Amino acid sequence: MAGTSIESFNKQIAVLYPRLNRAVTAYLGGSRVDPEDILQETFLKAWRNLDRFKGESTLYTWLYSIARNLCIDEFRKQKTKNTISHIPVDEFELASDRFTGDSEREEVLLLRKAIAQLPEILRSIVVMKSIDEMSYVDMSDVTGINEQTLKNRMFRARKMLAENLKKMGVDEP
Amino acid sequence: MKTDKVHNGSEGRREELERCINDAADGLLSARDIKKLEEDLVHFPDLFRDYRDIMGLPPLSKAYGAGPEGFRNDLHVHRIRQQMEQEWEQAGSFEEIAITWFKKYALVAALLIFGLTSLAYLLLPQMNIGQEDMTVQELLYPYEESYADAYVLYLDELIEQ
Repeated sequence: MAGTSIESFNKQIAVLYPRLNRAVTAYLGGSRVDPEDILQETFLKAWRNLDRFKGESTLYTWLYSIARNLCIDEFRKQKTKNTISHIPVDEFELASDRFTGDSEREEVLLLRKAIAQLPEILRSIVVMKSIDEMSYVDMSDVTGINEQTLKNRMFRARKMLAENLKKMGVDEP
Repeated sequence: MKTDKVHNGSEGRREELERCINDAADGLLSARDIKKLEEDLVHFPDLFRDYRDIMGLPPLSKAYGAGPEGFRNDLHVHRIRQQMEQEWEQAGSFEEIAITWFKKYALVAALLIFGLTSLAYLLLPQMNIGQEDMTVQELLYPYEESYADAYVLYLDELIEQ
């Protein structure tokens, strides 16, 4: 197998799971889709199609592409309207959150809501670049969009994010 | 036309500055580059405002914890592995069944095929081969009335003589 063996894949699940979980959770913020369902389906789908992974990209970006496609399928199924602005900020809190204080909690939850309010095309780029810390090369592998376009969209995403935060009453530092 | 060129030039410059702002937000610019960028942005007040807003954003990487460690879920990883093993076993048992079945019934299947072939070999000639021979002969030696007529005339002539 050119890409990875079943044994190697099995070992890497535990290593790649937390990173992918964080990215998928951020990407699905504000939606009713369960990240755990997406992750389970992602790893199983990858495992079933391991012979198709030729190692041209990293295993992580391949998994990320599968997860992203599954999320988009779910969005289509649910046909959720953009009502994220009406979701109370508290609902963006996660069970695993550990905040040092109320101000940190508020800042983080507002930031999550501002990211969730971005259109999918920009949100996915923000999650990949700023939260998952992917390179533009890897992002291009995942999305099939060239690096220059990704950079232009990242500028638009950052601009819109700043606008969203202003609307929510977050002052500039 | 001249206005269009100026406009296009201005658009190109804006796009270039937007890319520089993005690079600055990605932390790719040196202090000197940033100073130069800010000087250039003075001529584009709206972009300067975007630049300030973008550079003023809180660190986005902190929105979901400092790193992936907080998103470990050993129980879920275990469940995924279990599911994979289950599917593997199911696929394995299918192969096993198929091989056992083949070994067990291969001789019976071979004998059955041999018997049927032999029976067909014995019965078919009686049913079809004769007709097939006729058909072949007809194809090779097509019947022509003129030959028969000539032969009858030849016999008549012999009798008359």
